[in-house]
Amino acid sequence: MNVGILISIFFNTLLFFSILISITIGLSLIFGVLGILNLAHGAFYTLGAYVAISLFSYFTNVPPIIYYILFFIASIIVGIIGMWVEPTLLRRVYKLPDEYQLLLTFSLSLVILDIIRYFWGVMPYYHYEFFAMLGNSEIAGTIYPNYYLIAIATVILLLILLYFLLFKTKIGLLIRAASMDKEMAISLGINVKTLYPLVFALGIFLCAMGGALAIPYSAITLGIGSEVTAIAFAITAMGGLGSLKGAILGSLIVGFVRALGVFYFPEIELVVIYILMFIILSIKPYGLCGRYERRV
Amino acid sequence: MNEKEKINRRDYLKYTGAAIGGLVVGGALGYLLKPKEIIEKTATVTLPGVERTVTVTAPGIASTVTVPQTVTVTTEKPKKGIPSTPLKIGLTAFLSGAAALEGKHVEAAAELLIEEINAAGGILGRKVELLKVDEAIGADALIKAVRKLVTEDKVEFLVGLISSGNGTALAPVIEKELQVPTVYGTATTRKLFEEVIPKPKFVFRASNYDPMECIAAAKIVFKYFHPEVKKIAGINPDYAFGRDEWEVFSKALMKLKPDVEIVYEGWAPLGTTDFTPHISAILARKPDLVFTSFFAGDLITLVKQAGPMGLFKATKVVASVGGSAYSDFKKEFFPEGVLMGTRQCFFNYPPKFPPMEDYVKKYYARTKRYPIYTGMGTWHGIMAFKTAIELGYELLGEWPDVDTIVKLMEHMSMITPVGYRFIRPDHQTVGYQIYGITKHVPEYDFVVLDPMYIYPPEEIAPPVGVKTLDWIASW
Amino acid sequence: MVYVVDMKEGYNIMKRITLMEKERKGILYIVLFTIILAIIHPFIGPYWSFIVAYGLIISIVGLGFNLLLGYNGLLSFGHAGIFGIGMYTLGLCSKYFNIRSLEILISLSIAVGLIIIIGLGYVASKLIIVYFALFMLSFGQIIFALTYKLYGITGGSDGLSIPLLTILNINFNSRIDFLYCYYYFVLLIFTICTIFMWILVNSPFGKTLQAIKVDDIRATYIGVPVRKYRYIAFIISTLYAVISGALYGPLNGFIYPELISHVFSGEIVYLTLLGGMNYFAGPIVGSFIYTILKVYIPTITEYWQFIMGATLIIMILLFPGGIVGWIYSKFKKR
Repeated sequence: MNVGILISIFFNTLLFFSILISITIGLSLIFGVLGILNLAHGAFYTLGAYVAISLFSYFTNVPPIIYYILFFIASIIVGIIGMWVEPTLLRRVYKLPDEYQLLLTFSLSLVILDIIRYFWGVMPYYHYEFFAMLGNSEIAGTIYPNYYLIAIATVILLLILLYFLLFKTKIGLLIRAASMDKEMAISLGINVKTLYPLVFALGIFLCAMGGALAIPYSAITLGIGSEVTAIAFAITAMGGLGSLKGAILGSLIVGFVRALGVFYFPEIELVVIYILMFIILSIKPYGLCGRYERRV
Repeated sequence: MNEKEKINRRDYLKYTGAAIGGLVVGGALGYLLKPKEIIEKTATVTLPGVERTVTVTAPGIASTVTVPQTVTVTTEKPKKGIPSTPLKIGLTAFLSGAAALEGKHVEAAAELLIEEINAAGGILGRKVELLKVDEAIGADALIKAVRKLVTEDKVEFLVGLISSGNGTALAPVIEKELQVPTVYGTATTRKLFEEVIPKPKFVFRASNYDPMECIAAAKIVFKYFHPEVKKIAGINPDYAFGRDEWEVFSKALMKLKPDVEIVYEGWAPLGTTDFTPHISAILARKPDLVFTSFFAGDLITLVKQAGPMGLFKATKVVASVGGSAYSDFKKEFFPEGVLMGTRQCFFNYPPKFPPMEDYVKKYYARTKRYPIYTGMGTWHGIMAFKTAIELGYELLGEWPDVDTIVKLMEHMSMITPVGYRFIRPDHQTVGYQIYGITKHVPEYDFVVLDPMYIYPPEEIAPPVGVKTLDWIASW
Repeated sequence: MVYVVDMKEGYNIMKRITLMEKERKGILYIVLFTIILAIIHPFIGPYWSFIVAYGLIISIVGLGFNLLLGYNGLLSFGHAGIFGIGMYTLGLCSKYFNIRSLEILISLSIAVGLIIIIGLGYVASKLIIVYFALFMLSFGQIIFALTYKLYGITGGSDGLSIPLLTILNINFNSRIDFLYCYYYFVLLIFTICTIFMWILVNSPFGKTLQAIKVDDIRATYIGVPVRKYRYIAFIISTLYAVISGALYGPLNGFIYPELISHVFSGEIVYLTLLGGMNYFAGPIVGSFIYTILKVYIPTITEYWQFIMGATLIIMILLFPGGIVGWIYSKFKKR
């Protein structure tokens, strides 16, 4: 067990964590505030990746910082699309039982995926330059690509910004209030109608960011969303729906288990995560940090 | 040889007798029941070395020239046995997803060939139509779709097919239920003819199969990289094909070089987008050689991720099926020094070979890429089918039935753009196998192979009737 | 079970009479449907009989699934995994133990399935709404991953082929002959399952389940052992999925893991909603439409996912009752 392996596991954990948290935090946020489990999250992740790669294709031979900015632009675009989705589709099903909401978001994911397929086709997309430009670093004898380090740093930065937004600003206070008790918030004069699309857009923005960050080292195809989504849902349930702490905790655990598993038991990397969720839900039916969410 | 002459003479007598009788009866009938349009068509039957012309004219036209070796028949009575409907061919390939980089070649090769065939009048006058199915829908849906093609759309020949998983699933259905001649473009797992359908009647395979390329790889590694290679690792797709390749390669290499140790066996599904965990695991174990049978888009993903992580500097890499999409392996990300296999097809081999040069020109003009083995396998399959039909017609005077067609396809040898290919009696086609070390040259934007290692089938394919693993064990 | 008896005493006789009448009418419809399907079979050709048999099998898992959804408010995204248990048990037993008798294989699948779902249900009955959905999703994915990764046993993504089986110890000469008889076998099982389900949902047990769906806290207050009811409903629902899965193998001749991924779970949800989740016949109608759509839409357009999603959205927004609900409303107007 040499230092090289430990370093690899450490950074791989952080890398998986970053990808997973960008999806799960949005998911938990949307569920916590709007009360909807957004099954279309994976589709938005995919959309984020595709939009970003299209933007990338317009710029070649530019300094890395431009690509970095493009990440954010792509995610904002997808976030705006999300902002449009909420009032048109989701609002109609708030009054219906939970199952309908799940089904609606599920159908939405199908629609989005085929729309992506229509515009971008079925062939995989690649964009390599950014990754190569950044090169590698040598950490304690192991070579680790710089891009991964930057991706990790970006996500952590976003998480810190999110924390500040939610806990140190007025609008964050409003969001938290609306998540705890919607009726009460409305009666106190909080304009939920404008708040909801914003929160949804925020969640989608983070998720699209995750998708965009995947570009430099991954092939972008239609399938990238579904694999990650299933795991993201597992984590959100594990950590407790609506709990941001739970999302972080869950992503860390799963990231670590995956990094470990792939090193030593590559055969079962897929299953491990589900077994974990299975065990946790068996013991704690509301997840590790979840609260009993009773919708009136 | 005698038998063939006897048949020819008999048929010749039959033809002339039928012609005279046909003229008399048909002329009378035709005059009475003549349809409004007058159809005149010429069908040319081309066999290696022999040419004959059959002219078909409608009654009422005075100028019917009868010469030796020409047979005249009225259109009211089509030549016995040639259906007048178009000949439908079913094509299956990956038309979407990461493997579509390979599948598009299958489609292009088939379309190109069929356009040429139709321009020359079709197969015995029948126009050829191509019906396509996307393999990416999965084995189950594929079986249903193929069933529909044969039972409802009346497809008479199936060609294409890339995935070994789909191939082994579809084979029993074809042999027992659908019973149409089928040529797999790839689907190269040895298990197809060794386990799933040991006595195939309808299913053939046109490309070099797994044992050939894996044993070639093992021999090259042993001959040129020995003795540095002691520890090997594998990262292969987790299904029939990948499992097969790794098993044959590792067993063959260990037979040649018993001191070799396997330090890592990585399995990832087709279409994996993130190989980094596997690459990290491989790097940590410091092997001397990494073997991968990932192909097309997946190989590109793997190489793009492995490059920056330093895999190619740390170890030697063997990509057994690089030939799946080599035009897309651009110099920017595909390094030199990789031992890459391209089965029977690489754009500049055999060097200065006119059929290949001509084909490459046509193919490039159409697809902006160079042909690959699956496309050539598809080409060969369609050509073999066409030749069998024409040969059968020549011998029997009527459209041959399915049993005759498949019998004629066995033992068939043919010159193709990639050289000489022989369909063995066990329905596996063999020819030489190409491997090479990748190199960057200024003339091309993708990696080329230099030096090349060419292996003839006798050295790398188990003899007919012998199972691969038994053969390796007997070395 | 003690409580069920109590409940039975609780309901008055009047209700009981009307129940019986409705029950009988329903059974009549089901039997009629069965007889029609049985009679037309020789005339519709092998291709269509294959499609109808497929529809019948999916109806069974749909009915089971809807027991939890329509009657209990629990959305399970993992029924494909349970389906897979039935399917693969049959496949593996026929391969490794060389069993060829259809009856024995199906009984084995049911037995093995029961063992698993009794344990699973114990945990699952604790969970509600989204947690339940995700729990079932994770279970389904575990089964999927197991069938995929255990390459040596299950053949991984290459799948397993199902050999020609015997029905009532009759050996068949070809698959076509086998399929001809198999159609009737499937029809029989379908009828039994449907009638049983019909009686169940109209029984006091079924009514109590619906009460739990509407408000489970109130149900607890009036003495209903909610968890026990959920447990029983879960077992029956998953049992249907096991049976359905076991029936699927011989029909298809070939089984493989991708059949039971979360995509299929989603499709089960889709067809139930399409038919109408609040109506008994909903899953049956939905599964037949789904079967036909799945065969023909891919030939018309590649974008059938879009069609599936778009139709579902329209259904939810405009026709929450599904197709059956829409038909009923038409009848009411008359």
